Amino acid sequence: MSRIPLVSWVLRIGVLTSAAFLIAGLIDAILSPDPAAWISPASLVADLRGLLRLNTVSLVHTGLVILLLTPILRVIALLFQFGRERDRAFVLMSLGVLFLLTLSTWLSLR
Amino acid sequence: MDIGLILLLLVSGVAAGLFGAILGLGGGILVVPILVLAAGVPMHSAVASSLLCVIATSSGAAWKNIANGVANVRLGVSLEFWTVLGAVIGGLVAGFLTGSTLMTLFSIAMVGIAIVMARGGKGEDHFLVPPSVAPANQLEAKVQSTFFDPGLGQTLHYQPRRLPLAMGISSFAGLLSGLFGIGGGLIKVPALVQLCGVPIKAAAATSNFMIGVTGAASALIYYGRGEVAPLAAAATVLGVFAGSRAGASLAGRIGSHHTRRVFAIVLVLIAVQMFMKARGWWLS
Repeated sequence: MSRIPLVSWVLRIGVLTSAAFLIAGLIDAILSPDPAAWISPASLVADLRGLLRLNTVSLVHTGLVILLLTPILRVIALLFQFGRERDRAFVLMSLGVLFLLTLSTWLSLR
Repeated sequence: MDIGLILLLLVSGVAAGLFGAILGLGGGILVVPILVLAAGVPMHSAVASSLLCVIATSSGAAWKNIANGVANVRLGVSLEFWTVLGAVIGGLVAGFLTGSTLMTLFSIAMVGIAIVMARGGKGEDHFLVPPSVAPANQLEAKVQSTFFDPGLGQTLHYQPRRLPLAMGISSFAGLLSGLFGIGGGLIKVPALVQLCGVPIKAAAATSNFMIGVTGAASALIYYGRGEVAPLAAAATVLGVFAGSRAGASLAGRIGSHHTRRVFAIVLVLIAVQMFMKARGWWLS
């Protein structure tokens, strides 16, 4: 159990990084309102393409994508932890969860 | 985006997170009606935003709960596959429902949750399964856990039981999460406490640990369908995150029994408004 705090760090860094992008995006939105960002919902593919453009929408999208990835990284971190502990049952369970998350990601990218 | 609307969403998010944390609800059950009724966000986008809030509140609280050992990580992982499976199915099914159908179902679910809250919510501790009793199988042996409860001033050792039942209930909670954007703690926590013999603090922390992954599974599906309104989601997520942090520190100081009953009535009133909006009888 000594490595569990590593998982805590994954969650902590993920949430704080995501919050930083979301706050920056909202401040940018307030300073230079962009109604399109509010009206038009986004797709994950469009978001990923827009990540490099540092405008309101891409800042917010980056924050939301990091937020979405945080629990997935947590599952991966635990998978490695169980692997190091040679706990086959929990490795399989983590792989099962990862499979379902991959399925969701695949559905979102279609 | 209108600054007034950003502020409305931030404040609404803070309120939802604050009351959600005080009442042990998470906040999703409040975020969706606030976005739909007050901000005019389409139902599916409101559910998507709520799921993102669930991820933020879960991840934000889980880092502490894992570090201090209150969240039972192995118990969470053993139930996680089933709750995520339910969430994926819920997210996919929601794609086949119209906004008004989803809203009608949501209002019915709200009434159900209000009834659970009014009857006492998460129940009392039923963790008195003696640790000396042998676990039924290898999995049960691995999910035994110990944590220090500062409220009781003692270390609690417990042995979770009836895991297959908990897996089935977790699937149902995941399904509701994927459909309605709620965390599902109101279903999982009583089940863990009353059916599996997990102390309530450990049950709440373990449920919270799971719902981030549950929320991510279905949020990705909503994202893929283009149902995430980014700035609305961002404002709500930040508000809920701040509100839930404040609510968590207030939760122990506010008597919850009376508050829960009052809040149950508020939930029913909101459910009626949601139902009326779904039927086209609500002007906003």
